[in-house]
Amino acid sequence: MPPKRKAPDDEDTGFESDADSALSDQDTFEQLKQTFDVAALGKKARTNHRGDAASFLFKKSDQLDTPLKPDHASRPLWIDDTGHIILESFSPIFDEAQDFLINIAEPQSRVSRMHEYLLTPHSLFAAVSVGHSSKEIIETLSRYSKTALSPSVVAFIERSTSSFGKVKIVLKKTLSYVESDDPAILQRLLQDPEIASCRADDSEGLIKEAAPKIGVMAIPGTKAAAGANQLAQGAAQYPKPAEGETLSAPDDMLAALREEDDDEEVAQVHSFQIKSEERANVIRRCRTIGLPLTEEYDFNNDEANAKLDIDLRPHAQIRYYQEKALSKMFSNSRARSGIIVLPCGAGKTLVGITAACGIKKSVIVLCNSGMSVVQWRAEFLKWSNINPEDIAVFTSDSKTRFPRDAGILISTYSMISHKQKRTHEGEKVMEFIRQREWGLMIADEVHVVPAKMFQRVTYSVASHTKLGLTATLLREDNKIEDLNFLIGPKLYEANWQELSQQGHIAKVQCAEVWCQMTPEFYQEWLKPKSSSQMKALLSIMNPKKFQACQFLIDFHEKRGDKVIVFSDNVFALKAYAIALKRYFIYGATNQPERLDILNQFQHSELVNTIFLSGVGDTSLDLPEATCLIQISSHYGSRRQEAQRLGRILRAKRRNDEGFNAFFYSLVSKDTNEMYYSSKRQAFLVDQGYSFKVITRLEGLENSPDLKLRTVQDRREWLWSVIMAKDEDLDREVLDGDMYNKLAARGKNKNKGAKRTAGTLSELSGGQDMAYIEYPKGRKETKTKGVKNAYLRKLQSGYKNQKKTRAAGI
Amino acid sequence: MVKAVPGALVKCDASIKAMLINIDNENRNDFIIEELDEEHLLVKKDKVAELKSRLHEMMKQVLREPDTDESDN
Amino acid sequence: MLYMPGPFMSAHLDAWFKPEARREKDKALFVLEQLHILIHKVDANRQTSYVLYESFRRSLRQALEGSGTARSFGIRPSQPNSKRVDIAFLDDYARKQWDTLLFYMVGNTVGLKGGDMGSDISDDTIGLLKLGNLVQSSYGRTTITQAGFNFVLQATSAQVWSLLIVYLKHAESHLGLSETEILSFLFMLGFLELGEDYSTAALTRTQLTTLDILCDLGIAYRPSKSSTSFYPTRLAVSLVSDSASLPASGHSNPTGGYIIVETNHRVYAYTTSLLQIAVLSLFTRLTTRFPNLVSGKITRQSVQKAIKLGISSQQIISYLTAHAHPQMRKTQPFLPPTVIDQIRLWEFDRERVEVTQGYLMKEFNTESEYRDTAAYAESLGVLVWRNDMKKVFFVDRIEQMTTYLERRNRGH
Repeated sequence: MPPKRKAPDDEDTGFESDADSALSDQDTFEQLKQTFDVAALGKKARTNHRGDAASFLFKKSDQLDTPLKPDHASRPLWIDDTGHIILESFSPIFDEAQDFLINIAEPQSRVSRMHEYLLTPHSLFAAVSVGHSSKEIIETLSRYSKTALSPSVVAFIERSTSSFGKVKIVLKKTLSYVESDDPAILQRLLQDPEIASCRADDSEGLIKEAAPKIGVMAIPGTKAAAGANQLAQGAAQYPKPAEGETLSAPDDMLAALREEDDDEEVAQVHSFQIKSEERANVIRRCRTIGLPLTEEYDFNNDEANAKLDIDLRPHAQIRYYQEKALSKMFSNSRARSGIIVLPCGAGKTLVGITAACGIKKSVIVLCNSGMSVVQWRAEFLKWSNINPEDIAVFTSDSKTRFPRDAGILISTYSMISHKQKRTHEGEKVMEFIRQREWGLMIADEVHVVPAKMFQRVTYSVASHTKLGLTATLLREDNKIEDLNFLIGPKLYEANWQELSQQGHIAKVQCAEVWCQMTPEFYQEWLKPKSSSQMKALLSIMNPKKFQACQFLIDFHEKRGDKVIVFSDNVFALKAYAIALKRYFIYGATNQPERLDILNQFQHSELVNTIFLSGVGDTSLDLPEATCLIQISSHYGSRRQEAQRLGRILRAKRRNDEGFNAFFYSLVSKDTNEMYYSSKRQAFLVDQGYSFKVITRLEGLENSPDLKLRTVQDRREWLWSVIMAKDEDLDREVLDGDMYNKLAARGKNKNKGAKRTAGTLSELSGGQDMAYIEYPKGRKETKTKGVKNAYLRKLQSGYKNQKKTRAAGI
Repeated sequence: MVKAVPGALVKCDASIKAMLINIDNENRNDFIIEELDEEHLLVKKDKVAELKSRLHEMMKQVLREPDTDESDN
Repeated sequence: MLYMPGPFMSAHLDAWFKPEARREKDKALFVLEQLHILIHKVDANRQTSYVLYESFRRSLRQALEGSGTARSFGIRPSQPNSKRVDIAFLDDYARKQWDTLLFYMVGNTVGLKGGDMGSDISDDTIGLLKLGNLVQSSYGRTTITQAGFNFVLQATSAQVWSLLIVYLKHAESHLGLSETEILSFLFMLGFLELGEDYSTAALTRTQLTTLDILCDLGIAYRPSKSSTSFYPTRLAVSLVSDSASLPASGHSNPTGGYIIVETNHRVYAYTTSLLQIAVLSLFTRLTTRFPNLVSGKITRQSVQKAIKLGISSQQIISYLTAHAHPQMRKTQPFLPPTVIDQIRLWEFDRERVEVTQGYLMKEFNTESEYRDTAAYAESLGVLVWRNDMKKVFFVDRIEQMTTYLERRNRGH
């Protein structure tokens, strides 16, 4: 049993900090894996397989002797002993098979002709929780499969799903209870020391009360909703079992449960209370011991919480995939917690808003930046008829509450999970949040939230339903598992290629540009004394890469594209942007200036390229952007790659004839960037994006005004890199709410401002400097003579920034 | 007087050249006769094989191999 | 052309064809050249012409005239054989023998032994493969060569001819057998009727020796070593006709395409053939097999492993293209361009240095001496690299350069 975790003292750890202590206790996880390890099952099964001389060639599984059905050609998939599924996309019944698989399995690769899925305990849990029965899953899989289903797969599905639905976790008056019709099961749970230790009430027996009744609902914005009060049984549209068995096993199952209830004179439920902060642990533990908890919210019959007056506006049209996603959340007239994965730009916000309109209770929305808070508020007003008064905002700048019993509150993860002493006003809002029950918690960009932070959030916010939204349910550290317990299973994951073909997201041409390192840079790179961070900076600052970047910017600006250049490293970000006379935004850029630059980028014909640090990775909504250039990135982060690509998926022009957005990743050859690059692309490549390798940019040599042409220029450039301070080498430390955190850190702020002045001076004075050797430090201030209008503006921006800061602290 | 220096002409990228020079420097300049330009070196005739294998070693050491087989699932 | 004394001018040939049929004509000529029937010649005046391969011409003339000792259309046995075999049996036999041969080449390379591939390969056949430099042995391990992989990539009829040509050359020079006799026997075989048996009575000693190896290869079938009759198989018939080629085993697809390659480098092959699996595994990391499908991934390592064996990226690409699944044939090119690029780049990536042995010429006294000498080197085709700024250049051969410089110095 993991002891109750003490959160570390260091509040400054960023969202993605590798040091963040996992909620997932390795032991528990291992145990879970063993219980459900389909790979182990497969290995066992494998020893029973008859192979041939070539068997050793197949590293994963050899199913040579599995009987092939005579009519295999008309069935769309294969499934091996380990639950690995290969699906033919050209099969006539591909669509229905795909709809089914996305419910029960994790998509692994959806490129074009062949798709791959994997059955996992989590995916199967998600399947049963949206209403598929074990029997239905096995029968449907078996019907689609070209070969006979292996006994190990059948056993695996049964084990993962059979005991589902016996126990629930519910919320009553902000407190959490484990509930069941069968007191024996609860007693069994309480035998488990881990669960017993999470119990909150110290009474001996169980709480006993009458079971609530069940109603029906329709998803707002869909046809079902429009056509009066019909059932919106989205999940019941799955193919019928082959043997002509009754359809809709989920209904049957629930009906069966209800019948049991009816047998008794008055239906009874039993429960015991658990500590709210241990909620995720209880969920995890119950799943480990094979009695997974169902988490459903019967909002229609929730009399305790006030109704929120919210409906979608008539112009809000729900797209088919949004409906599919929502139907998973809302089947059986209950709302269930889980995660919906849609690519950036595919309308995640509208999904969240629609869910809010479905539940019609108080909603709390959690974002990862103040910028997103503003965007969410605007979206609520745009798509729903909510009274603006009923939306409260809780950020460092704004702390409001809604006046009536029900309302919407939008905040950030760090605001809610903040542990230090709050201001009086902040504490009052927190109290307001803690003391009520929320019908729905929307967790935006849920993949970035560290488990411990999210745990603090769930402790503070008592919500009946949690809806996680993200484009990339990926973490390099595998902590994504935790979200299964903290929020719920993945309910839906959209197919990127399909959305792109249908014009819901932009088509993107991806390219990886290989840039030779210049000899000076590479010699420095090779030196044993160069630290790995210095090596990374040398790779980013590679003059050939800079030239490629300059060339691509020119090329795309001339085509009429709006270009975003991404650099994780702030030193390089500034060096590039200043050398190319473009605006840049990074963590320390203040809000007014930020908005001003973004505004110009969106509306001015003069500002067609901006440079963004990691701050631009998520939740910046820039539909004007049509071209991305990435010059530095965070190691092998597949998520960052996908998030960045996401910045152009919502391109306004995406439905123009022949429109293509562009995504370039500039990589210095013979450096570790090459290695990381292929890692980074792995996710997108499995979504069907293909990266063209460009080894030579046609016309680069002859392009006018190309910088860093002479050896001397390159040496100066190199010198600036060698002289970079240690903190310049690192990736910018960002956290969820940059305004919030940065304001609290005086040291950082000063450094930012100072450094900017330094680089500006280089720009103004640098051109006429006959270089041989630099003095030890860099010149700090000499801001005269900035001729360029943009830069003048930039400069005044910094002055303002300084002023604001001076006033603020 | 015109000289004809026997040796092996090695053509390579700038980065590979930097590695070769590095190897040479660490081995008492026992490999390279002359640096010719950014992409060419003149190397001792009988040292080519050894230089190549050392280069191979070095690349293995300083670079992480892109795309390892383990990355697929 | 059979009786023409001189070459046949290609201009005359062109006159026989409609311009729009040019492609078909070129294709036909290409096939004839591949089969060593036709030789394409260019004379001093840049006139192109065609002649028949001499032995082909001779044999065909004999065949048509019935001259020589060969019985061009074979002799049926005097008594009908009671235990005749049918065409299906012959096809099966031919396919099995030929696949055994191919599988020997590929399977050994990837570490696959015999297995279900049926009968073993004869020592003579192995000898033939080695003579043709299609496989090589070192440390007791047999691996395919680049030529061998090229061989595997060809259509069966071209494979048969390639191997028979190796045999022809070898038979004359090493075994002292008459090339003409063998060749006329081959042509005779080509014109025999599939499914009929023929008597060995009229065959010469040389031809009987040849028959043994042809049986090993699956080109002919003889019920036993001492049997007095033999059957030509479809491989024999396809020696002279393209239409009757042997259907490939392992997949039922009429186009013969069975491989799907996705942009994420994953490979799916609809096959049950061990031979095809073995070929794929030369350059693919296979992971999973189902009764009618294997899947895997083309990785940097898997491609570089193939390249180490001498297989080029181009050969890999050709193989994948030639066997592309009908679903892949809906786009042009069949393979995803990024995958093609990547396979090529992986090949380039292996060889990062280009080495040329030779001499660096330097310390020229005058600009003109440098320029003239470099120009001379260039004209000889020995100049590898030059740098006019530094006045140095590199040559891969020195002999003529030394003479040139001596002569030049004496002249001054």
